[in-house]
Amino acid sequence: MLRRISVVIAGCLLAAVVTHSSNATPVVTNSDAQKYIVLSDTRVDVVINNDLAQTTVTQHMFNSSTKSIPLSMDIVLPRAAHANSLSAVINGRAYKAVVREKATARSIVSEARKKDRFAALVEENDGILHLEFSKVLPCSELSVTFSYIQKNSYSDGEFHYSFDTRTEHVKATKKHSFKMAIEVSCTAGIISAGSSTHRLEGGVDGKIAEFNVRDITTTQEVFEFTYRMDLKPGGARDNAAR
Amino acid sequence: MLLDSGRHTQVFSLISLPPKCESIPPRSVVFLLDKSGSMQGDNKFSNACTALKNQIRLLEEEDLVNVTMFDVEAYKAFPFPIKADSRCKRCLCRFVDSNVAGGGTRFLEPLCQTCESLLPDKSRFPAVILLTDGMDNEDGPAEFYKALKRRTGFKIPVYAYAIGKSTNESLLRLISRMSGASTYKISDSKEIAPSVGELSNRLDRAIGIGSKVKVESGSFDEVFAPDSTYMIEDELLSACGRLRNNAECTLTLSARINGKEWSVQRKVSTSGMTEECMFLDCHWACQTVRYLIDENLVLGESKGRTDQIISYSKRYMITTPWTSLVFSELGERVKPPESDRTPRSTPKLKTGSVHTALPKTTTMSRERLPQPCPTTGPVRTLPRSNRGTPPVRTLPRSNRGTPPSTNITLPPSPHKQDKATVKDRALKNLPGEKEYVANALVLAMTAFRHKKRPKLVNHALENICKMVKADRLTGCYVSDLACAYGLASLPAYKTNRRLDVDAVASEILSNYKREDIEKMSSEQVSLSSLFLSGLAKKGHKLSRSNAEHFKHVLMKYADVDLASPPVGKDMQYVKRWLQWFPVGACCYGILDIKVPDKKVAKMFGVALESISHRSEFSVPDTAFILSLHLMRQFAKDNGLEKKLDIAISSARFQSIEGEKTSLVSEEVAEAVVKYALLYK
Repeated sequence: MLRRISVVIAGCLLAAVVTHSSNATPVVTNSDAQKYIVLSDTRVDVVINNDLAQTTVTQHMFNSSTKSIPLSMDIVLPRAAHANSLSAVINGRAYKAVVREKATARSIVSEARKKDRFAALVEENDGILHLEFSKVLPCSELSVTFSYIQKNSYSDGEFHYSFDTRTEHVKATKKHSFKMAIEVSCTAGIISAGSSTHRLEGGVDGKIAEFNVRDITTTQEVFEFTYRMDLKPGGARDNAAR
Repeated sequence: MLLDSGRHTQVFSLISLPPKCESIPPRSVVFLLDKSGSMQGDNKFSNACTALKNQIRLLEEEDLVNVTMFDVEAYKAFPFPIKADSRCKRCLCRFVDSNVAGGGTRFLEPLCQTCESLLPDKSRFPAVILLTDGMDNEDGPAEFYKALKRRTGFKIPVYAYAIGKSTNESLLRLISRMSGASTYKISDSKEIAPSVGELSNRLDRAIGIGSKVKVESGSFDEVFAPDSTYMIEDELLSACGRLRNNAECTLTLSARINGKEWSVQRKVSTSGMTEECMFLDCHWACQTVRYLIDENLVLGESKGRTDQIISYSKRYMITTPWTSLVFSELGERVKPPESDRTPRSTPKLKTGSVHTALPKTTTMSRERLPQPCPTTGPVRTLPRSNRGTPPVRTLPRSNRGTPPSTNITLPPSPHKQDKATVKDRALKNLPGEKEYVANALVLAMTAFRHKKRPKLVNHALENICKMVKADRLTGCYVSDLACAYGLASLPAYKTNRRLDVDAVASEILSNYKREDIEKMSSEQVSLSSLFLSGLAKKGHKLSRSNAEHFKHVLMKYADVDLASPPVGKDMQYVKRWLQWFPVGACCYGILDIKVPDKKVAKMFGVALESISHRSEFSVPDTAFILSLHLMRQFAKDNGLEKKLDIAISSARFQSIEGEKTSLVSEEVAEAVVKYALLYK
């Protein structure tokens, strides 16, 4: 009995820890940018494959001021997640981040700055990607796209995926559009899928499910998604035969 | 057992649920708590003690338990783990309370002794729960790791809590991983109790031990076995690995449950890998890199490991202590991002609430719709009342010069090329400076998709690539982008016609009757003018009639605002178009200072003459200089010369004004905006 109570208490405490998830949308960190960079559009695409999920976040913003301003951003990745793509369209040009050895990366950046060209160094520290753009031209648009992979948690026979939809330190326009779509594909049949926090539009078809998330905003806290796969304990049935 | 694989990468993942088990074996747990001086801060020690006491009270009677505290020495509550009856629990709680934090940190010996004390008892599930906020003061990480391996063989799972930032997390992670346990990072001491509680809860549900993935045959690169050596009831076991040399292998997932061996087998071969998971290989690579990093940090840096880390890091875009991400305009040939992820059509089913099983007969819509170009603003037409009618202006005779040729030199028709090949070549064969063009290419594609003119994408690609090959593009961002967007905004273009860029130019010009201009939105006008600027930069000469039309195109943009200066949202809209650099900026400058129409006409006359006869002049340059002249005139008329002098004191401005050959840069465009705003 005592053990059962402990399980419940620990479960509650765990839930409290789990719901305090990190914010995966970029956080503007310099004061000028916080004042003038305005968020116009956010799109989140989630591709789930069995227990893994790849989340791609695209945010469109624009510089509402009449001066060039530097822009610093932090992207706080969820625990144990790792980024696998980062690109930006800034001042009308598309950039894709590439990985270089530290010395090479630094020399590229310093060379570019000497020639008064755009360059930015992105470093990861303890699960936080720090981006620094030297300048965003007045009235110009920029968009940042990044994706990361994480392992979905599993409990009570269900896989859980969550995404913190809040945006911090950046103003959103009144017409800010926030779109989110989820695609699930599993090697076993999907028994059910749904969200306890948001309305979903879409459905399940065998081993595939697709949903668009409705009424998603930057002020709601966390989007929760759960799905249940047709898994048999002990591997008695081999679902993977193809 | 479920298997999934990335088809091209030969990486597989494997998940399985443990079998049902009615009886749960007892445990043998030793808590190893750091009582060094550093644990005093942030109530770490008191919170850890509270967590320990809570867990001790919750143990079952058949469990074995012990507590060891350590600073530079070890302090055991009992010489070996004993049954967790009520007396034992009271003793342990008193022992925990009797300790005070202080001293250094040394835990190699206590950890080894603890593991050794748990080795003989095979009827219980052993676990060491280590809580520390520091590093061993005496043994280096490599020595620590090697000594622990030698003495314990990592046979006892060590669950490590790294509290705060001064721990050697890599060492703890490596020890945990090797022993089939986990490491938990605690940044706030308040998290200690819930986290230890959760771990204890997991261990309570352990039904088997020694769960591992075994490769029966064939060859693999690293296989990452299940996270835990324990098989936890209702907890997923997962592993991933990579096949080597298209091998066919048999995987066995096995464990010992209630003293009996349990196993399940699964064959893996590349031919069976039909399901494609694009990010599985990246997930595997990341795990590999993390493991190699930990080894490097603990055992010392080795060239082989570092090279492997850098190689994986570059290929899969993983940031490591040896690598960084970089965005650059220079040097590196940066492949532009693939067109953004496309939104999917709305699925046909509507789901109920969570956990609701849905009918399986419905077919899913898998088609993808193109996504609007991310850099294109919303298409918006200014109110008709704001457009006004452009005044008919005649160019002053003195400024006209020699009438330009009406013929536009057409390059040979593009050969039909495979789209993928064209794109590939354009992106791969470009030297550093030409990455501008590559970007324009990608934007053109997106723009065209947005306009639902797929055939034009091919044309645009072919033509731009042809220009690149012939080295006819200047590499100037403005003109390339203008070219791409000019094409995208062409109103009268038919999708079934094949024309090259120059032919398109000709068509644009021939279609730009005044009434057409009246019907166009300001967006189209500005895009078209940018397209024309692209042509001008490539040295194309305009016919007189074309020049007239061009004048209207430009004046249309100016007149809109001259007639009724934009306010509020309209002003925001105009400002956003300034991202298209000089033309927009200059028009804005012109409209803002409200010069008389005749002067505008004269200056545009000069501009058009320049475009027609001097190939080194571009529209943006000319327009900029015009704007500057106009501002000077306006400043003179309004007693603002001093302000203007200060504003134009930058060397860049003087250089442009003096030589009149430089290209207008972003800075200049920005400056124009600034000056325009001076007069508001």
